[in-house]
Amino acid sequence: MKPIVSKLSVRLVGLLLFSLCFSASAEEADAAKDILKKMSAEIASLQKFVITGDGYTDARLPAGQIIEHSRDVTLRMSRPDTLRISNYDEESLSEIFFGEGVLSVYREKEGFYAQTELPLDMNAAVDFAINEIGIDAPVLDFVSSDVAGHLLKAAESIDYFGLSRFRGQNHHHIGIRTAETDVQVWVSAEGSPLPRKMSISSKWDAGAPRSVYFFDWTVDPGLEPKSLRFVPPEGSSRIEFDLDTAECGESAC
Amino acid sequence: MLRRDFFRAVLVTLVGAGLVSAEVEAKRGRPASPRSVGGTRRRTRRRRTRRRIRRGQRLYSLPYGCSTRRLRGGVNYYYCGGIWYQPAYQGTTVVYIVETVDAGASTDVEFEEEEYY
Repeated sequence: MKPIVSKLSVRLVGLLLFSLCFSASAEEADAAKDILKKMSAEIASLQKFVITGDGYTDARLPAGQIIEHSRDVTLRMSRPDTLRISNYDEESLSEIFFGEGVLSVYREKEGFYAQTELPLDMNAAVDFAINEIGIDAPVLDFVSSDVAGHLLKAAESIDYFGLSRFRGQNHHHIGIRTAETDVQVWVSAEGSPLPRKMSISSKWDAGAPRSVYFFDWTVDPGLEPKSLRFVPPEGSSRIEFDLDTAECGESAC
Repeated sequence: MLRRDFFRAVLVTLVGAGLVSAEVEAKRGRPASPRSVGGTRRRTRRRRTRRRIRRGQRLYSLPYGCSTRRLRGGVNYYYCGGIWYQPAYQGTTVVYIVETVDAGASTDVEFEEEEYY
């Protein structure tokens, strides 16, 4: 009896099916990168902007319970090199200022502030603040001149998950996987392509704690220069940054 | 023979595609975690514990009742029980570095902590 199909065609069908699966995910990754690049270009085009955000950060208690710490954050940015981040948590207001080559940090609760020199270039300043000083604020991801490059620097994979609707608008839902975290970004699909929500999950911490923030953008706000300048509040005292964390104790490090 | 090869190839392809799609679904999945029951009730009580501290150690809080500030060499310190604690920023968090322990001072120190249960 004559065979219905040849061995060659059998292999070709298999190969075709597999390549269809993989090309679909490659297209998704390209779509996600395109959206992030447009978002990045939009943010880079803004000379002055304000981001107000609210969200929560998970905390795992010793008994295993996971709770959410709510936070409010506001970023006021004036390119090329000035910004102010006000971060309200359940305890206190903490503020971060970049300006004229100086980083200032202040916490209202303790009444202490610290200052150190910063590189003038904003990208270098952000790297310094994160890696040398240990500054961590959700909106810092949107300060760099190449936000897409910043987000994808350590990416192992990127996916486009389609449209997602919240707060009355459609958003592109994008997932980025790195070795340590899973990051999700929601970019507005209506109007300016700006990020409106971000989620970061720890992959290896017990309970996979995460932080989730929603953002509102005000472009071209009337920012007064003095509102971005740090002036030590009356009664506050200056302390230093602790750059030597080699000595770790049981209660802090 | 070829027909058997054909069915085997189709089976392998389907299983392979199934594995790929399972992985994608897992990545995109909506886990069955609660979404509507908001908040958790935090139950706490405060308790006091004693801990031995050492020079150079960083603490997230000062010992119980420690609030005396002193200026030494132009630097702000907290001074309690013969021990000097220097406040410093780690990022945006204030920590207290055990800077100096006076001769004869006890390093067995009482802290008040929040205990969750």
